[in-house]
Amino acid sequence: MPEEAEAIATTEVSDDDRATALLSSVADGSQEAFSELYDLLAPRVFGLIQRILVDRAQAEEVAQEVFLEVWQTATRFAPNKGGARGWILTMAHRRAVDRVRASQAGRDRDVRIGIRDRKVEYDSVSEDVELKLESERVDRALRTLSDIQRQAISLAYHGGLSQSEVAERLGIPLGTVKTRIRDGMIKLREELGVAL
Amino acid sequence: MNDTNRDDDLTVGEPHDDAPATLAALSALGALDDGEVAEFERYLASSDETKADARSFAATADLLASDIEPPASLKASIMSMIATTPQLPADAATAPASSEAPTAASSAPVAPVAAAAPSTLAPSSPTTKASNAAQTARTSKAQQKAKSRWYSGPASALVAAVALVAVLLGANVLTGVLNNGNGLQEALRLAHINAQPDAMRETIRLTNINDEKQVTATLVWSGALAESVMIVDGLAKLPNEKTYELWYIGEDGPISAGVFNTDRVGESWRVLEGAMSAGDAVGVTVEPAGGSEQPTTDPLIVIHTS
Repeated sequence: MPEEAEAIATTEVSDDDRATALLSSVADGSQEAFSELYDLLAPRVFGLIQRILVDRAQAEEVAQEVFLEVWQTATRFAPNKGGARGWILTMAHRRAVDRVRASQAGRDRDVRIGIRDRKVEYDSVSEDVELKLESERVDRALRTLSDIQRQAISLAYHGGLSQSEVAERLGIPLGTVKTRIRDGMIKLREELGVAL
Repeated sequence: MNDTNRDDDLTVGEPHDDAPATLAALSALGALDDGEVAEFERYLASSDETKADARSFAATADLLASDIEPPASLKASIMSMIATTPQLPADAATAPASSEAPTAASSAPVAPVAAAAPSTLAPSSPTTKASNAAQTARTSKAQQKAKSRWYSGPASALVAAVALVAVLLGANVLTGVLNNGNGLQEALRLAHINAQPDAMRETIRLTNINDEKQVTATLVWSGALAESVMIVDGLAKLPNEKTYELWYIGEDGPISAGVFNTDRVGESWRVLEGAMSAGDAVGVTVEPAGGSEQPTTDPLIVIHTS
């Protein structure tokens, strides 16, 4: 178990390093590097956006905006602040959330989206074995959290809610949401073997 | 598995002590309230521990998302957009805050999207400056006409063309673009058409009734340039005595726009000869080798441009 976790964590890091190296070439105007960077990150960026927005056409528009922004602002990425992968995924998350908040569709969204069972989604979406394995690992890790921790994290990340909105949705004080999310993330970080 | 009780001490104590870690966790999930962003930035700038937290929480959040393969057309759109979109200058003043750069810069860089979006409507009256060329261009090398138009940056344009064709055909990148008798000039022309602000794209899918094979045909056109390019996949390779012929079909009937054949896997693309008029449909027929003045068979493929 610890070995598996370690191996996966290493893969994540080298992927991130690769993204960071590519982004630095993109900052120098390399379209070839951009193309590689796109291939490396597009499925995850699109998966994240699609999960938040649900609507596929809107997800495509937002993904397009995100990658265009990556191209334009690569020159302003500061590697000392973290990896390129996180930088881009954070950007994707923010853009998707902005779009949800801007659109009527977002307000009409099914409340349950943020807390629906991951398993259902994976069973219907995933085709490849690797994704399946990773999802099982994530499912296992998620099951070690308390219900409130899991719901708060999922509402924030998959549902695109801010902590105040999470507090409102779950009917618990903001301070509780903060600590539940922090503790839950620390737990997940450890369960998933993410290197500090 | 549950050997993590030692973490319990993190859940007690003064909330304030945990503030940087809490903000890092919330930030990784995109859940910070607006008022807390600046506070988090301060911690991030001053504490290596917060930086490590931010990075590892981001990696954790990353694992919570699932991969979904985006449609191939998305990459084509993006590659052609970046080929014509300048990058922002590296700004020394804003660089230190750049983990939040997307927020700071978000109003400026997004603007070009609207202008370059593939959904832009075609202009109602595209130029038809070369309308006479249609009849005469058939036997001439199309790139002669095109040469004068090439904008600077052929390398960028080539990358965009490579990306577009590679994505639409899933083809081996350079060979896919440059084969089928298409040279560099044709590739540049394709990129130029696809990079127009009014560029439009339409894909149709058919099933060949003889072999049940899926046939995909995509037309990319620019009304402003009055030019278009046809990209096909899965279209059976014809014997030597036959050829595929392209037609602009307008009010005056079909006008030949050049011939092509496909390779073994049925892929090909070519820039149409002559000028597209507003509202033209583009058709593909099978003709005797060398092509015909007028179509002699019913079109296999028809794509409308309006």
